[in-house]
Amino acid sequence: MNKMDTEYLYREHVSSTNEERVRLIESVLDFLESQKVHTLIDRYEFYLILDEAISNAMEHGNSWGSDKKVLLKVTKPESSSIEVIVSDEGNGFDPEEIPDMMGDKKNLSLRGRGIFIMRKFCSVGWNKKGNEISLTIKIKN
Amino acid sequence: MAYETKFEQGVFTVLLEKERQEGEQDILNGLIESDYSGMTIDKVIFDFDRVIYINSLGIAEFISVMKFMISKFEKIKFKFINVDKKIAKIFKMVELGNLADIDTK
Repeated sequence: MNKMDTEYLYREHVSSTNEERVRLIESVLDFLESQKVHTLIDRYEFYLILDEAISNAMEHGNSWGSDKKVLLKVTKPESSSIEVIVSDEGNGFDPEEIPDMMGDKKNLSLRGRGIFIMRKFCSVGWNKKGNEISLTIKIKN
Repeated sequence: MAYETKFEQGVFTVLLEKERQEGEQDILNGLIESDYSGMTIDKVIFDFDRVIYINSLGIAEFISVMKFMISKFEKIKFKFINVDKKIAKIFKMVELGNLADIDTK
């Protein structure tokens, strides 16, 4: 990967508030659209997975503390995909601890659906600490 | 107001007022505080006609609502009506159809 490849298409720090969550999602989507970066998933699906990643960071990582920041970066590691990286100030978590909530016919669990949704639309990974999620999303060439 | 309700012949209908359902817990808290004395509820219908967006926090709130209603009325059934097709796709993805009948617009 050369230097150009690792430059951020988009980078922003925001406070952990609902208003900032919504503004950040729309800002990222509008920016990518203005740059003619079109994903294979539609805007609704892209909105949703950004929301899940940012909401998790603000809720579980930063406990909606308005003084706690979430950092969102977008890179284009290769011509066929973009990577959205969302990190928070929390202690992280072990993704393995998230219950596999599918397959249970009467599943009333309140956890795990956000990650499940993200995995349906893109590749998902975490840093070792578990406070930074990366979403790799296929784009149209 | 987050919702309006109607009760008729064992069917409790919840008309959702807000376009975005993001787990604010106002529906759950409102329904927990409601007075159900003298009511026998067989079915709860959530009308999603006005809803254009829901995330996993919103889905979790509806699951909490269903858990609460099951605790009050053991054999209760659930139905989601007038669901936008994009939202229905997400509901199907997370297997919400195992808990409620889902009718799209």
